Amino acid sequence: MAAVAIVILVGVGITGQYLLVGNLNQPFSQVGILGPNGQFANYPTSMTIGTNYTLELYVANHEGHSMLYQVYEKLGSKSSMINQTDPLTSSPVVSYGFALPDNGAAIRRINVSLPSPGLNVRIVWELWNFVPTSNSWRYEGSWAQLFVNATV
Amino acid sequence: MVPPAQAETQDGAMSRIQAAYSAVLGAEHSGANVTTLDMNLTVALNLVNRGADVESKQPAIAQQYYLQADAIATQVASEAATLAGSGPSLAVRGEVNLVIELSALAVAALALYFLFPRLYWRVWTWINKDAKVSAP
Repeated sequence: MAAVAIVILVGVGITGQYLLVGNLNQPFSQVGILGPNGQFANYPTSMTIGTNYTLELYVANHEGHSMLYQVYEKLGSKSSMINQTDPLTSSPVVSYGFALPDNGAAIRRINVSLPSPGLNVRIVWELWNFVPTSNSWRYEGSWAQLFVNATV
Repeated sequence: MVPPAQAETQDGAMSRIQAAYSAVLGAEHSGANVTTLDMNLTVALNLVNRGADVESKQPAIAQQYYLQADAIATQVASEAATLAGSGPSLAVRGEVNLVIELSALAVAALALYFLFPRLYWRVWTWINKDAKVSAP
């Protein structure tokens, strides 16, 4: 009867995991910026204004269902305020849209260009998602950023 | 369903995308695979973004982008509604597959439990058929 007991135990385990898996995982979304070669390296440290620099934008959905995202590219300075609850107050320069299934991810090649010179210019990519119940876009609390010197 | 407009604004196209997304969520909740619908929504969303980028300088081109986005979103909403209709059967199919897998596991374990000793001794006897027993 040992085999029967093992079967019951394994069956209970598999069924339990199947039923509880939605509650065990903490849902989350990710945004990241990759260098021109698709790696976490070779980021530009200075940019000539008006010149396009190629980077790669990464977004991943682990929320348990499909998500509709907008990534807002914004410009700020070293003193600009951004955290998990408050996005940058500046207006988006560019928007990138993503609709991702659960456990889906996307990498998109983007061109970044700065309009004016400055030291420690902060380029921020904020992740926003659409909330159908409130019919509005909500800041997800995730962002990626890059500090560069913008030169003429 | 509201037919796509002949002239479209950024807000109008975005509203249709948002409505299509809600329909996609409904289809997904019913157990449908919505990966393709999500891909199409991504295309629509970026058409709206591209339209917004050029609207001040090239309003006619922006209008084209909005209309394309609108058409895609309308198509996605329609397909999502169809998938949502077939969704419950998909969800039930998943449950049935789980029960079949668990039953197969149970049958395999019982077969192993009852048949393995007999099989083991048959094989052992066949391997040792020429063995001779001698007193120590």
